[in-house]
Amino acid sequence: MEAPSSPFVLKLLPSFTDLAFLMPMVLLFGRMNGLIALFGDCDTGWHIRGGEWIVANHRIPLHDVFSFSKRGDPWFAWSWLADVGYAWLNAMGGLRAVALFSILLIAVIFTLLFHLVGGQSSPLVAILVTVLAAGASSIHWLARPHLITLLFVVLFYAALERFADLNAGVNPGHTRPAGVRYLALLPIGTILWANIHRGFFVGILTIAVFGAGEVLKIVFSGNQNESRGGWLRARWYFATAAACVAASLINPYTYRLLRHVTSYLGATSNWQHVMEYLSPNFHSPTAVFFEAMLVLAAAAIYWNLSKCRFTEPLLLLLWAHAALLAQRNIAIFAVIAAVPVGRAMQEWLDELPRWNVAGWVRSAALSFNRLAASTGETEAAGRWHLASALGLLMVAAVIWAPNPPKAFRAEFDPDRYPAGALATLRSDPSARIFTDDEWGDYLIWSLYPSQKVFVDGRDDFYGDDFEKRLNDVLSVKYDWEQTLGGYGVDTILLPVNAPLSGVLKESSRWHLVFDDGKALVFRSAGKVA
Amino acid sequence: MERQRAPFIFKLWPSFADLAFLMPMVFLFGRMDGARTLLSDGDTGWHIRTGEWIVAHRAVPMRDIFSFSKPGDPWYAWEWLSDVVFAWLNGHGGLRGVVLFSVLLLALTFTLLFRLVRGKSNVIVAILITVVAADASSLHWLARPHLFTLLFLVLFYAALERVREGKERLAGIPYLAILPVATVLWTNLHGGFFVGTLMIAVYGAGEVLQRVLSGDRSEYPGSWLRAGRYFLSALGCMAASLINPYWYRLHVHMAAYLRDPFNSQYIQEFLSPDFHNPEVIFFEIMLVLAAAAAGWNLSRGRFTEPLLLLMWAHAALLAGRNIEIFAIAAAVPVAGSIQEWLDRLPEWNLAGWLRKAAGSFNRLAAGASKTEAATGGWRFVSAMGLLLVAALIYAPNPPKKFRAEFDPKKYPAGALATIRRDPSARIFTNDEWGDYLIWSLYPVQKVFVDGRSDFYGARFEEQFIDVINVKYDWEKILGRYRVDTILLPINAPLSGALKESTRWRLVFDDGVALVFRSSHEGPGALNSVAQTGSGVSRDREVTKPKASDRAITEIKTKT
Repeated sequence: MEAPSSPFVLKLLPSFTDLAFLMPMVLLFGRMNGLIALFGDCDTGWHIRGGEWIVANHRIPLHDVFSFSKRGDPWFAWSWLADVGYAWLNAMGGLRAVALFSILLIAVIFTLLFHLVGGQSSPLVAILVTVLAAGASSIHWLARPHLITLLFVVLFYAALERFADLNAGVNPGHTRPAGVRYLALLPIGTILWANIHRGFFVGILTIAVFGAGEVLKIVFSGNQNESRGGWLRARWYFATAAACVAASLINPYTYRLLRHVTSYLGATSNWQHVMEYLSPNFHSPTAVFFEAMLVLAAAAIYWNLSKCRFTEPLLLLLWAHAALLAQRNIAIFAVIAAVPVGRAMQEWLDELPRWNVAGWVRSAALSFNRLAASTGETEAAGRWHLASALGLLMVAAVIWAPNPPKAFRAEFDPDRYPAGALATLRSDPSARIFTDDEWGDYLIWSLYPSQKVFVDGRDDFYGDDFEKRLNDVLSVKYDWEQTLGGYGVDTILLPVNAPLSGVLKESSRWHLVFDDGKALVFRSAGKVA
Repeated sequence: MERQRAPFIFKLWPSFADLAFLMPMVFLFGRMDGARTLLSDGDTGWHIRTGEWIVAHRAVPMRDIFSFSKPGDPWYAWEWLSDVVFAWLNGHGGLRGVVLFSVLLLALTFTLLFRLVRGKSNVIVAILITVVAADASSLHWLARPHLFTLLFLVLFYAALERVREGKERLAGIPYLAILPVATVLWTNLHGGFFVGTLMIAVYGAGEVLQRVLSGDRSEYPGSWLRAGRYFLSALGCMAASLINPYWYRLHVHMAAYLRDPFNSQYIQEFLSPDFHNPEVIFFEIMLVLAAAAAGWNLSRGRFTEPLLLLMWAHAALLAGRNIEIFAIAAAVPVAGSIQEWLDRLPEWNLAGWLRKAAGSFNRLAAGASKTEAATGGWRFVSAMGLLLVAALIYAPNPPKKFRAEFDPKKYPAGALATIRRDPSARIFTNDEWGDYLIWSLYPVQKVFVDGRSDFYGARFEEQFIDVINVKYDWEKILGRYRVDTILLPINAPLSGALKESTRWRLVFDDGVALVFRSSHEGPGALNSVAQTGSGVSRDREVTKPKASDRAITEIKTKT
């Protein structure tokens, strides 16, 4: 159906799409800490330096380029394409450009998600669910390549929903199902995804779950007439998933990347020490969005099961479990849950007036449905999305202003990172500096290539054993000094309140050479002499 | 229906109720670490010593008796009655008595839960759900007063379900009137008494929601009256909970304690659950089942169950210690829903094989229920199981899992002799080991801190954590409390600092614990250097001369 031509004034007015586009910015700068939150993880630093290395050397690194502790060891720069993108942005506009790109990416993700949810429900329900999904996922809004995974999740989901819609209720027998071109796009998308971020397997899993949903329907449903069409659709889903697996091999490390990703995700050290791999903390203020989405997802699971639909419950169970295991998966869960939750809510609203509930509840549902229908009509009118453009421009203008407010400053928070210690560290380019992984990232960002690091945020590169030794040193296990000696460490950079700082102050073998109340630099007595 | 008279041999035969009774013992001594799991929290130690103090003084303490850091400060010994019970058990059978009693308490709780669930479903569903609930709750099986809360929860739940079924009286007394009386006991046994009050209020709220949201109000006559009774009973429980040694001040204290954000940051059992823990899988299973049960009950126009499930699921996601309450509260509606699904499944539009499987399962369950009605009347197997556990616990050289002791590899048992030599020492150690010192050395020794986090408060606990993590002013804090002896696990960060320091010397090391004594004469003199520092994040003057440096103790082989 063609959208009716709308009057000029209406074209200028903001729509729900504009709201979906601007809402991440409102959340980021209103409720969160703005760019300080976006640069709350210094991994961005080594991604940019990694990209610069690739551009400078015209090749993708196969061995480590950043550390002195594991110099030259095999390294999987699995986000190499994103790294190049970040390096280019940084070269063009510094961290400001990286920040603006990340904001744009988040805005586009939730605008697309709003449209996807809107395809299943009224704009009112769609915007509510999108806001909830954005709030839940905001726990992991960082200027890092995983944002592109969120975009791919929405795109893959849209393609799968389109294919499912085109084939809903159709029993094509032995003929080809409709909309195969949507599935054909997914392996191509996987090639790109596998070279941008390791989260590409999320897409493959989602496709496989659509296939499994068809199989479960055939196995559990009383309506056997649908089985032939179901098997055909399931075969196409599984074939697409297999093609995506094959497509994911097209990367600089071929099959070794898949093996590496598998062993990394199975490593126990991640969920013991890496914050984003820990289970979510439900005391956190943002967890309320996740919990609300969990409750709605549970209701949607029940609803879909009662309608003999299995794909949605499978998807929701899989990603809810993943989100409870590791908080970094909350973002994926929130985005994936939005569609079935939005659809289930719309179906409840549609059916509520017929249910045996109190009259006032039925009237309220009818009123809401009328309101939703009228807003749907207004929303359908064509817009120029002036509000979105102006909002983004305004954010860009404040970011590029000479003295922007703190939340708009594109920098790694100098209160959290050892900016003050850099001059002291620069004075000795031969120093072998020990610091924690987060500050290691910052050193790569600030001092590479003149300085190399002991450890940084590439925990997949360093591996279980090494990370355990790092934690032992940081928590002053008895052999901490032996471990440092093994790597020839002669300089230690630590936050003032690190347990090891207290020990080093007591030791005659280490001398404090810098202290600005945030970071301490110790040099070994031999080095000072 | 009159119960069939069963033959003698059937009365000896194990029943599902026996299985429910023995299952916690199987989990505890089979999969878990047995008595050491129950005694894996040193809090048991100070509970016993408190009970002994109460018995000796014939009074409930109003002020602290255990610490030298906050001596005589107001203290709420809110579990005083449990403490007396634990002290009596310890007096009569040592820690063995405490362990056996805790095992019995758990077995009783899950047997009663099984019977409650059994009222909603067939025996097979009932035992399966009881097993899941027990396994989920096993994360917090410790010989501590909270076990009474689990028992009271089941008893309250059973009473509320009886009321809902229309069986409103026990021996002529309304259940809703008995609950406030029971609350008096519960309040003096454990701080979890508010769980019961909340449960009653939820039943009232369920009635209100049913009245407000239901389409056919004539189906629910008297719902306002029922809601009123529930709310009245809840109010009665609240009033009854004032009957404790601290009167309303206990409630004020508890409310402040439970709202304190410190707990959710630092105290393990107040943290959100770690879903990587293999034990948490049972909690997750119960969560999924609870979600389905909540949906099912809502679709039937029932609101009490969804409210209960939502409230306790939220509480369990907030704090691991609430998982057990959720697991028990969820067991009843989950089993009821599963039974309803099984009953209706043969009529649903599902695959033939599934309908047939449900039919077969229902027939099997009906047969099992008949057998259950006839067997195990004497609970012979339960009694034998408990006797066997008791015999192993009281054996002269019991297997490791049956040893009623605080694990000597986890607690500083070896360091006690060294510490005992100086009764005037002011010892700093962590809260868990503080509990152990109260257990082992009270009243000769008092402690810096122990597991009574509500007594010490967030401000003090933060100072304690700063010392443990060697924050810049750690020595100043210790100096303020005139600490002259430090007892630490070998891998504590502070141990590393103390090994480097000339102001402390290592006097004991057994590969589990280290004891450091101040090098200076007299308490309070040891921290002069740190005390002269600026106190603003650093003290540059603490570096000692190289000549006095001591090699770091090598204890690798012992760990």
